[in-house]
Amino acid sequence: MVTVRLFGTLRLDAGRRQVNVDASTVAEALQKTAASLGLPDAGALLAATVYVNGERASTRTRLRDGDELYLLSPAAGG
Amino acid sequence: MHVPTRFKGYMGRMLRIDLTTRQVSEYPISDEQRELYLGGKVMAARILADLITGPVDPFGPENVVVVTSGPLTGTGAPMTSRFNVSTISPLTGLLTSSNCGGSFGLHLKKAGCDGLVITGRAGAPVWVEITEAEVRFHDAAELWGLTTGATQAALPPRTGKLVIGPAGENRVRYASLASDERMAARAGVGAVFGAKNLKALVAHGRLAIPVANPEQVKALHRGWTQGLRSHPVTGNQLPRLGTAGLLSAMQARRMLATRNFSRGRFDQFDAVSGETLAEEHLVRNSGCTGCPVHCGREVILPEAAGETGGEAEVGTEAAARAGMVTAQSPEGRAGDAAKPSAEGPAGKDGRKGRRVKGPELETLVLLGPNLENEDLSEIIRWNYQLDELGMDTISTGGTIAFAMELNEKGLWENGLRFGEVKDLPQLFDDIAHRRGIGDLLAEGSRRLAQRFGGMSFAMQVKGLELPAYEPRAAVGQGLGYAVSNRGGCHLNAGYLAVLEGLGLDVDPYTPRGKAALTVLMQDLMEAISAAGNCLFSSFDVLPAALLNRPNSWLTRAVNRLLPRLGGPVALIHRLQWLPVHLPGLPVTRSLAAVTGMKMDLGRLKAIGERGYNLERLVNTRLGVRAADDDLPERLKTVEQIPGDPRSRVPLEPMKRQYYRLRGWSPDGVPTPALLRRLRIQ
Repeated sequence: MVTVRLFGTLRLDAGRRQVNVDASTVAEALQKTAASLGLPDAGALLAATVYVNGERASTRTRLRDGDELYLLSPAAGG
Repeated sequence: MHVPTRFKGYMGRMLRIDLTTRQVSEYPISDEQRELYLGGKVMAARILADLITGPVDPFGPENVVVVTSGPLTGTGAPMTSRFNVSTISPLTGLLTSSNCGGSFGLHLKKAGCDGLVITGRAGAPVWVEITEAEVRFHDAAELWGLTTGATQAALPPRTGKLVIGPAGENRVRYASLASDERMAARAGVGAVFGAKNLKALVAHGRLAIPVANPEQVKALHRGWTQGLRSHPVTGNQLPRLGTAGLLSAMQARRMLATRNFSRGRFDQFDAVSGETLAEEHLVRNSGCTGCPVHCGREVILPEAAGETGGEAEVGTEAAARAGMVTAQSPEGRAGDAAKPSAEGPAGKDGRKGRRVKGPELETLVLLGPNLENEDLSEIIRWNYQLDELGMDTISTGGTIAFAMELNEKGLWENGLRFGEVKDLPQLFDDIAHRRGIGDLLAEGSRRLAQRFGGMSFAMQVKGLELPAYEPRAAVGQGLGYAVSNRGGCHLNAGYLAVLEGLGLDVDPYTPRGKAALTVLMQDLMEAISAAGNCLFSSFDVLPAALLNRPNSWLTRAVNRLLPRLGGPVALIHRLQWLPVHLPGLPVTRSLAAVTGMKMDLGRLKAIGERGYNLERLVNTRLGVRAADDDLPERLKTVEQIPGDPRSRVPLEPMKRQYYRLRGWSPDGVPTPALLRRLRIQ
């Protein structure tokens, strides 16, 4: 089980702060997160910047039980 | 003598007000100067360069305050309610400029004025009223001591106001100015008003602001507004999350100033994030006059712990006297009842109570992670309190964090500790009224370091406390901080953090190309500000296609390419002839249509470059040299990530390159040849 934490407008759209899914790669985690949020596909999540345990990751990054993912929607400036 | 202007967008009148003699005269501005310096902070730099020829006491009558609007202010161009206040800062001793989105600039133009040049010192507290017909001086004895909100409430309604609170009156070196709920906060402009016995400026009038080509202006501004509404930042992120929406991205990128900049991440960051602010506290968006983005937050003022409602716990003596400030509703607490569960939907129900302006990103970080504070309700209360006292939230947070570390290291026993923040409201009040240790804290972190030691971890540049971005995770931002005319400011720095992770994703640890990008960004931002625009109005320059798809091959290619573009960017910098308009930078077309001036990218950039060098010129007259363009040792020598030598700012090589590109001497002084090229006399 990995924890997927949502940030940015992605989180407001989802109405949830996090979901827990079983996944062995980031790509699989995104697919399962999309399903858990009731999204038709993982398109919106694939545009997010992904961090695994605080380090930048790609869709191919492998996951272990207990990993924590951050998904950040596009943001700039302030 | 009045010199009429052939350019539209201007009212054609700049007033000089001498507070000592109460004499009012016209400060002549020629059309040639309007073409060279446009308005806003660049025109202010020209005026200060003419009037400040050597060292001045920032609190003395010889200091000059220049308030300027831009030619786009009030013309219907989006996000153009901005006005600028420039003076010699009591915090840095150098030229500072502070920008504000309140309605004062718009009202000043409707009163027939493009700006004010204020000199001297009133014999007793005054407020000054500017109308189409005259300038009146009013006794401000009754207003003296009032908070910014109470002062504005006591002044004539339906006017533009620019006021100080108790902090300005007591010359807190980082006192701010307020116009409506917006602040011109940085580097102590409010303290200069206080030293001049100037409690407030009020402007009102009914003049129309002329534009050269009304039909073209209308069409251009409609398109500009549509562009802003469809952009991912100005159309989605900023309206929904405010500037605070950047906090979680800064956490991910190790750019979140934490524990007096000793770290770049804060484990409890989500407790004070923009998302949590939106979920638990946001009532509705708010914004400056004429802004289609509305990045401001309107929230309910939470009660303090143990408060049963109705008590003015936050209050200052002055606020209590004015019968205002913190009348909280008993049911006003926005937190627990509406708090979402870890996986549940965010609740928004049951919010009642006093509505106030919510905190922005800088306030959240400097009063949150940087103090190891995770209580968002407290930050909302403090933000409100500091605005009422008229005190910069960035410098207040930075100075207190430094004092906490001084205490921790045994250099100054002051009782302040990271994470222990319940007594801060009293401390803020003590700073504003210069009571007890508040009197020392009112001097800012550099002066504290001169007294108690610890300069290596006093997080300031040229005396101005650093904003929210930890530069060891964005080294180009670090270069910008060091060379910035204003001192530790992210915007005057060139704001490379936007390219180094907070927007694009250029390698934040490489110094390569950063000097050239810094020069380009600084000049463009300087010119956009001079037009009267909010800097967010030009976010379209970062294409939505790149921001929306950070993982696409195109975005990754741009990120890899940008640091290698130092040479071409330097070439663009040297080119004076760039007769183009960028699709993402509508300000050039807008300026041409509003003013009737010739305007294009080259001219706009030249105005920005002129402004940056004029400010530098004044600063060199006040003693600035290369040694002042520096960062605290912590940022240059201590690795943010232990064992990773890239995680510190390699300042010197970037700085040398920056000076070469700027055309400055090795000691950081603009050369005569450069000043001639820029037509700066």
